[in-house]
Amino acid sequence: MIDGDKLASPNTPASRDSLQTRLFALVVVGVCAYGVYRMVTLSTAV
Amino acid sequence: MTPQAHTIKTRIWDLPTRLFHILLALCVLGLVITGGNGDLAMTVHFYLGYTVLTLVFFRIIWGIVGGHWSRFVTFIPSPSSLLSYLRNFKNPDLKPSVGHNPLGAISVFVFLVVLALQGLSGLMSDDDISISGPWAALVPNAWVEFATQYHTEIGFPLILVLTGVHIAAVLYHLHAKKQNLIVR
Repeated sequence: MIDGDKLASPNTPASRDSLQTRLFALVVVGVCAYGVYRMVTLSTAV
Repeated sequence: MTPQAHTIKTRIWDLPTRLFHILLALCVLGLVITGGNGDLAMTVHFYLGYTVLTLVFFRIIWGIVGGHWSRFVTFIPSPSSLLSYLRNFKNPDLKPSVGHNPLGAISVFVFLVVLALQGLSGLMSDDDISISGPWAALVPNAWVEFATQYHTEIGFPLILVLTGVHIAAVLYHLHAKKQNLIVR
């Protein structure tokens, strides 16, 4: 799980892991963090 | 010709999935250490809990839009694949799974559900002394009582057991099957 690469047969599909997909993941994390922030501050909004 | 001659190095776990796994492990460890250990530790406990909820929500979304082997559709085990895996569990000729094996896949789903429940119950928990979750004032008292009991008496030990089984499975693969799941 640390390295991420495995020896597999040549027809095994690889996971996309480019700069774009990593930036996209960062955006997803940001959205999730904002969602959790809104959840935990519900009591101050009510 | 060695078996490795038929194989090539392939990216299975993308960086976001790997970071998710490492951060989740660190956060769970931190939560276990800080749980119920005074006001300062509980402040850290709250923020670690929010981080775990963020990570769980991220993993659910990443299970839909993430890299090929991180997507749920690639590792949801069918009953037949699970039975076949269990029947051949000790077979030394069994080829290792490329992504999650069926048992590992089930553990992913169980962990996500249990950690989400633990986080959500933590939001509603109240120790009746000085610590209360941000939702404790928003939900009925019966919910607070149930959530507090679940969080401390069911969810917490369940996470310890699941983590123990998870580590035992990784060590079993390392020693008995010579598969280093920690590195790959």
